[in-house]
Amino acid sequence: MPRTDADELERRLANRPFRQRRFSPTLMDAVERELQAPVDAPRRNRKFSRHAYLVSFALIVIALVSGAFFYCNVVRKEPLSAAIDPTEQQIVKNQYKLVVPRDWDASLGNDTTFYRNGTEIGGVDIVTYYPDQPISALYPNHHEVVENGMLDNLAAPTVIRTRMILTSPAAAEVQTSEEQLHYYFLMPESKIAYDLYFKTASVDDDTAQRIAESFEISVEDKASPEESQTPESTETPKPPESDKSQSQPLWEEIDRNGALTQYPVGEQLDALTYEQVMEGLSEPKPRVRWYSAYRIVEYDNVDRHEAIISALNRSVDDPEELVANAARFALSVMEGKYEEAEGSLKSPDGKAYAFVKYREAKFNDGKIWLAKNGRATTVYTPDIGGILDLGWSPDSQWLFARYAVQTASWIVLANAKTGEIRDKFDLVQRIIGDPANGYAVDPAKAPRFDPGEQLVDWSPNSKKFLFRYSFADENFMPYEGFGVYDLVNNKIEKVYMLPANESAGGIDSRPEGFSWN
Amino acid sequence: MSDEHLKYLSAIDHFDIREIMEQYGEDVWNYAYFLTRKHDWADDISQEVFIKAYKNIDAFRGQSSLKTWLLKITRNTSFSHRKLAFFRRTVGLDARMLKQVQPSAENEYMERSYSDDIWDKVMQLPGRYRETLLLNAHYHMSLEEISRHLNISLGTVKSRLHRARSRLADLMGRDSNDAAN
Repeated sequence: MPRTDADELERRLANRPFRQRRFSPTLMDAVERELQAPVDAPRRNRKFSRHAYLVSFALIVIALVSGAFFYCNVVRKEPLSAAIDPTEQQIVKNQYKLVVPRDWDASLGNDTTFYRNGTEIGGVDIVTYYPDQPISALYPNHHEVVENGMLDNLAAPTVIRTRMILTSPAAAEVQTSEEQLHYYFLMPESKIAYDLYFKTASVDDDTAQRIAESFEISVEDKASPEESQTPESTETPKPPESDKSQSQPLWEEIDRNGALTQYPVGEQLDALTYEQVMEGLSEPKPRVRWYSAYRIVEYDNVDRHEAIISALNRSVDDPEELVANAARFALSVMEGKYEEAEGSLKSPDGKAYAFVKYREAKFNDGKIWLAKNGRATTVYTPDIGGILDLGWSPDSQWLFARYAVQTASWIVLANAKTGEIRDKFDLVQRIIGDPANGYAVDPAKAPRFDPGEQLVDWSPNSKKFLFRYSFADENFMPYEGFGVYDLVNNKIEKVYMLPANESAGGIDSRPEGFSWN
Repeated sequence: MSDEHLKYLSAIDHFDIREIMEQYGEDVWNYAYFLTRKHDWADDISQEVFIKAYKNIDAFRGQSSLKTWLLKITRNTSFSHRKLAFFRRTVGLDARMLKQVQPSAENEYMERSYSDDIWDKVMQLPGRYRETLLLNAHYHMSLEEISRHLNISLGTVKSRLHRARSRLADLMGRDSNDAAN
């Protein structure tokens, strides 16, 4: 085989084998559901002995498969899920399931968004439904109904099919319109409706109809225990809000196991709407209120400004100190009183402020915010990592941040005047890669290499900075040291190595004999 | 640097398991498929792998990368799945077996899903060659790692790799000759 052919084969073998990612979010959802199930449920306890497992499995397989076979073939005449057309996949959620084309991806949570090639094409929302209100109360804002009808023989006794055009609000800068097809599966007793919807530009009517026909609801339509009790209080019940979705399952999903205070970042959070975050401000879970108080700042515009401020004013009295603090912080930012925002850093020239939100999280969202001329904007959003330190250069040109994940930290600089970003210093790699430094360490062989970088001082003219670095070799031996980085020439000007296992000391310590002169 | 923080974990919570699935789910699913050649089995196996990883993270001590550890679990799970499949076959009621009455539908479907026709040829290789080749060429495992992973000698790894590459080149060559003729 000629060499070039062999190289070509190797290159092709290294590529991804399938056009699409095969381990879909649906499968991930199923894993998470399994892990959330009670560990003591015998059916899920996998720590059987091998023989017990096989025997039990045989009995369960015989019982379940025969049951399922009988059920599907004799009772319902419907296909087994495993026998779904290979071009389709089943999406199973706690409250419903349905079959969609295999090349679709589905988001987490009881509310589902469908994506094809990364583009949103439809979804399922669980919305509040009051039977005494007209069906139009379920429709989104700014809609125009094109076609409306009732369907029989689907998963709920009443299913409304509505084709509508959604338009942007009159105040929006850019006017858009989009046709959607909605199937509302009404559950009058439980006062909810499943809103299965499709963007008709991406999903044809036949596909939408097939999916609607596959939609199955796994929960009974009955009133929740609280609602079925006769209210003893004379308080007037809160008026239903027509288009308010059931936000609690969404937030429960998002904040599973305290994820919000671990690392408040992710596609699901990116996709939150203004209304959902506003609702988050009054969610029962303090973590959700805390997150929403910080987040709502990002939705500020002329139309919403007053509403956000009034909501935050309520949150500053939150009994949870963390929530109240976050609300105070957000309010200061909203009102342009950056100096009052706790933790905000004034530039040495006094003309700007820098800050980070979600400071109480284990890893914050890593966004560097810069406020100047009465306006706050994000100047840098990392691919990964939260900010540990944030500061200014003496000339107020550079904002610096130390980012970290569990086993690494690194420095990022953002120019407050020009917007220039320097985020690829790779100081540790460059130091050990320079033979002059004499480190004989191969990061690939060091099981806990853990590279660390920290900016500790600036030269008075802001052209250089002093940093500390650290890493460990293949025997877990830690190394630390200092270096001086020259921003003008983009190079490490000097390295102050310390012997193995010797600590560089606290943030105020400097290498022996160091001075900027 | 992106997966550095995932390499050495002492506990996985729900948040981390999602991140790990996002990061390694595709590799795990593909490996399960390469081993079993059945996409619905790969669905089941890959889910089981992450459940096992979650429950047994204490057993992961960082001797290997997290990915290698997950691939090892995938391999073991695929084999036990295969054994259970044999068992199910004897019971004779399994829906998946019923589905196998139409193997061409599955093959056609997966062939359409490949990003490159080389994968169709890879799937034609005998299992032991296919697996060794993929661990080396696709998953970039060293010969020593493969030797440990498959529990075979280094010499056997080398000879399998040599034969796998020769056979694959033959299959690809035959294909291009057919096209030329």
